[in-house]
Amino acid sequence: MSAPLLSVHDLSVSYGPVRAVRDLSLEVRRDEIVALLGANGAGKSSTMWAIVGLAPRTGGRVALDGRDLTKTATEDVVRAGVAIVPEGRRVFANLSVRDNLRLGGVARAADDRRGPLGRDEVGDLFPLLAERWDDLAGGLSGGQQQQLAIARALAARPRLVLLDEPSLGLSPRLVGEVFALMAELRRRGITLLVVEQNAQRTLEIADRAYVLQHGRIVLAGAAEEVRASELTEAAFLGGGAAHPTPTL
Amino acid sequence: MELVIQQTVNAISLGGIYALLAIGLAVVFSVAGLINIAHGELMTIGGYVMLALVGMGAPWPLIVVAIVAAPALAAILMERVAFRPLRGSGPQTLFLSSLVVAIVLQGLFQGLISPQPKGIALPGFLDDSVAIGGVTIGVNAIVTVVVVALTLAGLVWFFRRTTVGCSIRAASLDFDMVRAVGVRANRVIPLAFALSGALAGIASFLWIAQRGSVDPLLGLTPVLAAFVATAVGGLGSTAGAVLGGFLFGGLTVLFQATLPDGLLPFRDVFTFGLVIAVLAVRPRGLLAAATGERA
Repeated sequence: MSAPLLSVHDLSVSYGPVRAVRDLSLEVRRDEIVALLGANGAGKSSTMWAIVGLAPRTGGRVALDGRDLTKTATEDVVRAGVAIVPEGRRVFANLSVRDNLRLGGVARAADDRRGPLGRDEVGDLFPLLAERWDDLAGGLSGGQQQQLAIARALAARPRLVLLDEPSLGLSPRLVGEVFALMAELRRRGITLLVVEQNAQRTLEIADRAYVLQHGRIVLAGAAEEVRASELTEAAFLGGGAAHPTPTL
Repeated sequence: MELVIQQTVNAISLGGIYALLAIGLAVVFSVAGLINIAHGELMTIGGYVMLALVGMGAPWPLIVVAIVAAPALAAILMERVAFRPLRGSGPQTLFLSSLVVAIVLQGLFQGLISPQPKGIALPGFLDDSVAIGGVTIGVNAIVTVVVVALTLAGLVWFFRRTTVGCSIRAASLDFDMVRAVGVRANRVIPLAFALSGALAGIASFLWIAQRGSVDPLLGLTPVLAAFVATAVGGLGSTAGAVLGGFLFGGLTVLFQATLPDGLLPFRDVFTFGLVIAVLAVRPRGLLAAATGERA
């Protein structure tokens, strides 16, 4: 079998004395949706940021398609094909939708045949964003900002998208849209590594999952196995965590 | 009426120079998180380059290019030598480093050139005045207003229409995210420094055109005003820098023109007093860069 698209080996992240991630290893294969699950503070976001080199790594290796990216600067990891949709969206509030996507396109490979992500293509996936093309991102609703953050990642024509808590803070209807979108992206050949609090729904669309607890992977496997496991339950699925109350 | 128009032109030309300097400070602050104390020295470098080239009898077009290019190159060098090695350290460290750069450069100017002001022979037409609709206005002030207007128009284009310009605007809110979309910090930071240097060069030309001499502390007064302008306008906001620059220049000219002779020596007390009042009401400035959505 060929090398996985993303492979992370023995990754550790520390913020000063606090070890957020310990010896984490995971793989994402082409065209998969892989879920990274766990309670608050389990180290999920730290793992995502460490993959692109923006969290303080204290050990481990990261490779994309067999190419070692451990010592590569963030900008070049992103240019190699890893786009991130961060928790909290972090759209550029003082730029228009168009300019957010323009910056998203910075990482696009020069020889990518699809060209820049244009308004029509955006409108195909996110009709509302195309309508608000020249509006400032800061004026968009939370759901639209989430769409913009995803579109900004897609503008890079990435090989892998890291999606960090894409449904956080959205109304139940919008949460449904985000999950439908993830499935649609996979159909379009985009590989996803998804961090989500909403474990049940994520496991419905994911191929495989890893469960994190206190910075360590405690369980890994096919989505249905992970869903059935008591360890998952113990890690965080019990009670209301599977159906978090929307905050927006 | 004539006095009002003349003073308005003065206010715009002084405020315009402050605005160019303030934009440079704001742009560097946006991408590097640095309040560059050595910004005034970039102006001074422009002044000495002008002095040298005028002395050699170089043609004016070349002098104009050099007075913009030399501070831009100096700013890139400054970033490489004094700030890049310290990237990621706290704002205090960067601030101290820029203070050291400023003091070292001032010392070099004094030791290697002269502690005294050096006169620069400017083209005679700058001292002329013209009558427009019965109002006499100095050519100098007109040149300043036109250059400032063209520069601001160029900047609007740059910040709105180019990817680098957008990166710099976005960086004022969230530089990590700008890197996370693939913008190279090692490209955009030197570019921001170069832009700030070029603007300091333009400001230097306009400042010297009004004064006719250059000295080691040339940049001190205008850049101090520009610091105040960025604080009033909102640190890191380029629009705020422009607003603050014109406001501060306007107030200075207003008090200069209207204060009775007995109070004139206290002009700056009035302008800075008003600045403190603005900051008391809006501590983050009039147009503080909006904080990013990080809910």
